[in-house]
Amino acid sequence: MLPFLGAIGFGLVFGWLLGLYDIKPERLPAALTSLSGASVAGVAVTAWLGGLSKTAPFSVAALVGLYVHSQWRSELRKRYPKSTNP
Amino acid sequence: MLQEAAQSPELASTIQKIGAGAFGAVVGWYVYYINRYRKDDVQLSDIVTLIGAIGGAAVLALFPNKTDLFGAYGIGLAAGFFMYFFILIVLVNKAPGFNSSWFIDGRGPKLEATQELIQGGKGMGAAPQIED
Repeated sequence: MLPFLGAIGFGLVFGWLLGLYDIKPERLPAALTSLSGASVAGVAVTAWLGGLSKTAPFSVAALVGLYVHSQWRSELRKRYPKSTNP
Repeated sequence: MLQEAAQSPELASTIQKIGAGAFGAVVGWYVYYINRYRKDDVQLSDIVTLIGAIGGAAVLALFPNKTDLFGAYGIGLAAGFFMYFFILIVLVNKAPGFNSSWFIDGRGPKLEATQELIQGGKGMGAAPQIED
């Protein structure tokens, strides 16, 4: 049970960190490649430390962390648009 | 002691698990701290570095594969990381003149008439950029 929860903890932190990575439309392919590479690295570390079976909770938790973080940032940007003052 | 526990993971004692969790909490706290004081936009290399910090060589040496110690470390990591974030939210919302917009780009209230930024002055973060 503990390794399972540990993999979830890893995944949440990892997904949250991935959410920091701003994807600009003009650099979409490069960004997707980068994020895929980072995700493969994250899954590999989890598989190494926790075993293959822990990659599933890690991946789900990472997606949840990524989704929650990006939604939170997007909500903040909507609520507080950039100032137009000089 | 941790390595001995790893050779027989089922024998990892409660105190060892608490220790692994506390170690993870310190790393998680520090990961958020490092990320918060990052100077440029986040790059892939930052994320890779953080992955290295989270599951790096020291961790691999201390907590061998598939043990409860790894689990305790992961739980502590998330606890430390999100505890920093939670405390930051509370402090930002309690600070006069600040609100959640601070999280977007560090917005804050204007300095009052009796306040100024001191050249070379430094709080917890980087020294302020003062225009001459």
